[in-house]
Amino acid sequence: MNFTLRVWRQKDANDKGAFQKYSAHNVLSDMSFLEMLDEVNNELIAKNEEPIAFESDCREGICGTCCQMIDGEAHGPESGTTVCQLFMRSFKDGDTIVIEPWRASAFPILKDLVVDRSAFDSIIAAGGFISANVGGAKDANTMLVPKPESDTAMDAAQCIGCGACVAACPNASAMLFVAAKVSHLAHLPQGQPEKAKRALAMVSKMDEAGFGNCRNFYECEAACPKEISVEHIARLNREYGAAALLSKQNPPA
Amino acid sequence: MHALKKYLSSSIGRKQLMGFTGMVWYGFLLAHLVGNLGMLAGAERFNQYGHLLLHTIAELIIPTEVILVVSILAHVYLAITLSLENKRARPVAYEVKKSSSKNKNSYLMMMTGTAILVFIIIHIANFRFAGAGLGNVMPTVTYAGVEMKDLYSNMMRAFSQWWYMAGYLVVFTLIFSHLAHGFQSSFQSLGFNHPKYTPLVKAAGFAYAALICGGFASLAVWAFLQHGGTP
Repeated sequence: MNFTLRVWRQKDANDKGAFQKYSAHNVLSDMSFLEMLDEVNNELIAKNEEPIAFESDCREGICGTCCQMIDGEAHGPESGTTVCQLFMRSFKDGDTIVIEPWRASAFPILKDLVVDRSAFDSIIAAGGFISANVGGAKDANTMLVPKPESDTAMDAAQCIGCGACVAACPNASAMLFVAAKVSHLAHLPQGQPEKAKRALAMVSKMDEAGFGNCRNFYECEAACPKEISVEHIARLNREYGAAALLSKQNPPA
Repeated sequence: MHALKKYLSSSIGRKQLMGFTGMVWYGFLLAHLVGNLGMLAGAERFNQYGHLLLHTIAELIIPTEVILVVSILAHVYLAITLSLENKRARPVAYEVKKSSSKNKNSYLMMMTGTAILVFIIIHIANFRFAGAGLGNVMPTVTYAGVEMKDLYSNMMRAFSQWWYMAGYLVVFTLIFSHLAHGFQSSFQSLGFNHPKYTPLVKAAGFAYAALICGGFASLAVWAFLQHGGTP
């Protein structure tokens, strides 16, 4: 298979950036999208040109590192997959493929297709955890969790923090990400003592980071490689409303 | 105090206020539609109903109007400020962007909302404060010695003009789109999303929007047909 690629190239954070055309030759249909880019980069390196910078790590769809807007869709045309799990058989021979980085002011572009997603880390650091005393691991099942609750918590916990929700949202809102984290812990007994504090702190950090506001477009749900439901956003809205209006917890200054 | 201020300036707090102020208007629209059905009972009944609202129970109606005005002003203010922030959150647009197009109406909220706001201002100017036909004085009528606004003939005169009726029909389509998304969206923003009930909420939103817009639209057409298009 042969493809024409239009790739966003940007030297560094301060560069204006522009699209550049590349051709990918003799691509096997069973290559992943990243393997196709590896081949293009090999050619660029052989020609002494700067290879296309993109992120990847596990290449098995669980790390959330690879993030590319492919033909206007976060992680490309297949639903429920990351870029590394997207295979070239999903495209037609001769297609022109447009590849862009995530675009959001909270995710500044570092180089080419690589963006800085540390805004997500700061949201997690604000409250995406439970405080627990250290010590020996407890025996299993000392804390009982009903199966449906643990299943729902697990659905939310699947979030890999890739940022596709922000990328796909017309408002660049991070609500699905924050919702997944808040909802995951809110469904479990371990998350209860700090739930009001957590919702207030994480939402406050999210607002500070410059993400847009949720308008219930639900583009995030459609783009999420882990298919996390917007039901969790409703849960976040509920948790935040209750924390702000009903709990005695004060919001962070 | 700080906690409440923080809530009202947060993204979620403002979105919830947006949903709540919208919900205030759902109730109003339903009451307005029921009241308008009175026109089918003829001029006297309809004018008496208007008189009842404006004079007999004005103590109830005026505060209601204040609540509605405050709600819509908050709704509009939030819509503008949130939208400006949303623009800032993505300063550089994508070259290619596909949307899942599950929620077409949600993309139209700003456009339909703006048009509805303009409509509400004209509508209030025409029917709450003055005569229709733009700039006319409201006529009066006397029943059993009580002089009251002749809302009925004022309205009939307005809707006997085909362009006036057609304009209303266009506005009702926009209101349908706004309500169909707004109804379920406000539930989601206020934290209500349940696997058993959310499909019902969505269906109820469409049914409510259809009832309101269909109801008002049929009354507009009915009023137009009463005079066969001649004022």
